[in-house]
Amino acid sequence: MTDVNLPFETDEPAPQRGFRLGLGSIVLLVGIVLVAVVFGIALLQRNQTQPTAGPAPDFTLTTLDGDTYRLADLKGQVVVINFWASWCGPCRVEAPALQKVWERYQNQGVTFLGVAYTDTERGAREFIAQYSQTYPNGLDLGTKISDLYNIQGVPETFIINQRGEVVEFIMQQISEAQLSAILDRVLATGV
Amino acid sequence: MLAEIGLVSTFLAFVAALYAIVVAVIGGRRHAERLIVSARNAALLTFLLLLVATGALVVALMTEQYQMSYVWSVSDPATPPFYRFTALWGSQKGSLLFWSLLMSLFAAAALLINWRTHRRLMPYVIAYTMATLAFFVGLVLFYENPFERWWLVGSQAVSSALIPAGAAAPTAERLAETANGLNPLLRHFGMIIHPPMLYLGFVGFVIPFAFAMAALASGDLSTNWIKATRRWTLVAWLFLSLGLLLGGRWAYDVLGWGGYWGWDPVENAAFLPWLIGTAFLHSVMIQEKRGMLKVWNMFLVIGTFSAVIFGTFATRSGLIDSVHSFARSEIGFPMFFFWAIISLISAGLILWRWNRGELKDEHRFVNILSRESLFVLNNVVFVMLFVAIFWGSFGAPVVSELFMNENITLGTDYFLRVTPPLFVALYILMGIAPLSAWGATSLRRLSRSLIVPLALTAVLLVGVVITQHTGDPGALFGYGIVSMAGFVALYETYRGATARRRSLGESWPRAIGALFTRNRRRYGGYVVHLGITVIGIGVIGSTLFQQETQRTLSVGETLDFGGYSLRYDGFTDAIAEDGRRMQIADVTISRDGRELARLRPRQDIYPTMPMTIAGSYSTAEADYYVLLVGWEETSAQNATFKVYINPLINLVWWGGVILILGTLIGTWPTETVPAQLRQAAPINGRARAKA
Repeated sequence: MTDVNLPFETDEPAPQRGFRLGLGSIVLLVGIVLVAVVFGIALLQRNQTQPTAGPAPDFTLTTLDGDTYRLADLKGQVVVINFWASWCGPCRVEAPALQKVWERYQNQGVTFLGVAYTDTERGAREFIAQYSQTYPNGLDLGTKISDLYNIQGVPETFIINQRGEVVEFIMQQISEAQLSAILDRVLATGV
Repeated sequence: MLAEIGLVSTFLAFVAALYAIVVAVIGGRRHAERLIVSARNAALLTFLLLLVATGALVVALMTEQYQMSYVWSVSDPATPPFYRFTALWGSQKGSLLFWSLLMSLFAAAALLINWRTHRRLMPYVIAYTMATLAFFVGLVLFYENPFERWWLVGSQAVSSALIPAGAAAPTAERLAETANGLNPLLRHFGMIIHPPMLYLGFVGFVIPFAFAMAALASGDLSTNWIKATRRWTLVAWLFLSLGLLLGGRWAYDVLGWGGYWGWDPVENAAFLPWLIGTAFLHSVMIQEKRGMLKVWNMFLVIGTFSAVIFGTFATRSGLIDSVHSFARSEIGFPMFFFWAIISLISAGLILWRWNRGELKDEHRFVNILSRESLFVLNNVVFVMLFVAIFWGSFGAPVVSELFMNENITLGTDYFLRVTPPLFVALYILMGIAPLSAWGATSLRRLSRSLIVPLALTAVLLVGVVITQHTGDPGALFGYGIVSMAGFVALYETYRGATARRRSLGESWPRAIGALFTRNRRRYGGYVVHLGITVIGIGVIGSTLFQQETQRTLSVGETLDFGGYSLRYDGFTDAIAEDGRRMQIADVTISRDGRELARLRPRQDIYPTMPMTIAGSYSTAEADYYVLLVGWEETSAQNATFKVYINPLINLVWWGGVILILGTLIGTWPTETVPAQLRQAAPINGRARAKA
């Protein structure tokens, strides 16, 4: 071979001073960053918890009777949002208490919304009939409302004040006395 | 007092690690011997300090210091002393401290053993190991402190590492009543050794990682670094394999579902680094012998450690739901950032060195049948397995939740569909690659060396068909592929020994002994292959031919199933010393009218959970595995049993023993020449020729 070296035949490229990235390297680095971003967001979402203060996420609930309720339209009222399921034991324990409190407060500016989490319509209707519940109850199709409130199980109960802010979050079965006490307080003070 | 000792020495270890990083880097840049030695001493000191800290926690556990919230949460007055000790790794906080201790132990060992031989890399090895250690010790100090104590503030009990304002210390006696006790699942022999082995495997990979990073950072990219790295990788791999095997055994004995591997994300998280580590152990040979695949090997070493950290993060942060996932905790974000940062920095460093032309291969691939080509194929399959399992356990659930707003969990079906073809490919390569030569191999030569193993395989398969009356083509294919790989390993050893006998006139034991001492790596590797073969046969047998049935029996009634009969003899209700209630069924197993064994399957009822402990009758052929799943509350006149017949399952454990043995042979130090002499005489060429 003569002294003429064609560029593509050079075996040893002169050491480069600058740091130039080839396509493969860029793909690799972007890949790592992408994986990191995806898992980072997933982790962030996982660590989100139920709202315990501030504006309550808005949603529309279609009840089993066919009525629709939008949370934003209920401003001026105290709203009790109860997440439940017909397959959940503690929900059965708290069901009579919820109905009793509802009967006592329904004419005092309090609305109850029962949201059935991953339930069948048949199961939910049987449950409502069994405990003679008269407040609005609907299925959370596609767990949209449950995701908004980041619930981790049932039963979970949120109390929203007249200004549409979450004032109380209860992550266990609720008792008649506990719920009445909270409602009395919120009706009187708004917090 | 113990809490103070533990807290202070953990804090000092943290400071010493930080000091070592800074001083090692400065010393390395300025070539200042004194600074580097000082950094090393600080690194060694972290081990002693963490030993004191761990010791303080162990003493607190043994002496029932329930004021410490960790002791309170993992033991109670009924816990026997043995489990008090193992409660050290019974929960996240203690296990992180224990993990840090093991990591500093590995770092100290690497610094002492490789100090002379890899002098140029040492400053950076110190810096990287200590950075990793500082991160974990930092987690212990600031997120998951096992030295936290209970305090009384007013009437409320709170736990805190330091004394909260206006707090009073409660007495141990008062707290003892409410103490939690160790998670019942962890009260098993397999669970006692399984976590430490797994941790040793995990933290062990920090040393290969540190060596790789040190080589990249210092620019000393000769094949030198890879020798130390290979051995440390083998050590870590040994512990990781042992941890995986013991974990499987524990699941089989304690979880009561008749199997040993459930493709659960937590199990997979430990299997993923094993896959990349194994790929590295193979491809590293190509770099040593042929100077090829330098960039690839870097990615494998670093990928293994990255997988370790990722697995730890994914299973301990609550990211993935798993049947035995650890409690969701605060350490998710720090672990996530640590993982992302080390992955990015190391990939960046590799690309930088590559860009400068410092990781150029010395040879090119010439022949598809050469050993290096087959090893590359093996690596491709390992990486495909990694990707498939990673996607199934972490990718799909997370991506589906993020982008499709629903949680898709790929179950066992997915793994049983995707992984078998890849495992088949691995076993085929395991059978062929050892017979091919470096550089180039002709097809004729290769097929000639395959004749004997193939013939042996054929004989075995015919034997299986005749004696077992099975014509299942899938199973026969599987047995054939797997056992061929084993026969190749055996036959190669046999060939090596006959060659010695012929040329040197040695006796059989002497020839085989000499083979193993002269070339530990190669023949140790064959033993590992044999172990993997035996495991493979066990897995095929127990997966494809598992039989199960469930039946309710009255006392005296018999269940005939799979050639065995089981008679329900009676029922015992007992309270054990540690407070659990044991409901035991007495059953007799017989075959052809001959009594084989009396088994006592039982349920242990702990205050927190029930546990189903199987009774099992083991033979080389199969395990007869009985679970007590239910009984009539008052009289126990009737009881329900679930019976599994798991053929060949014991081969999984025996294969594991062979694998460990082979790894020990391959890892055992061979150098008999003292280090000083070795440095004086440049015998590199001869040493390489021998290897």
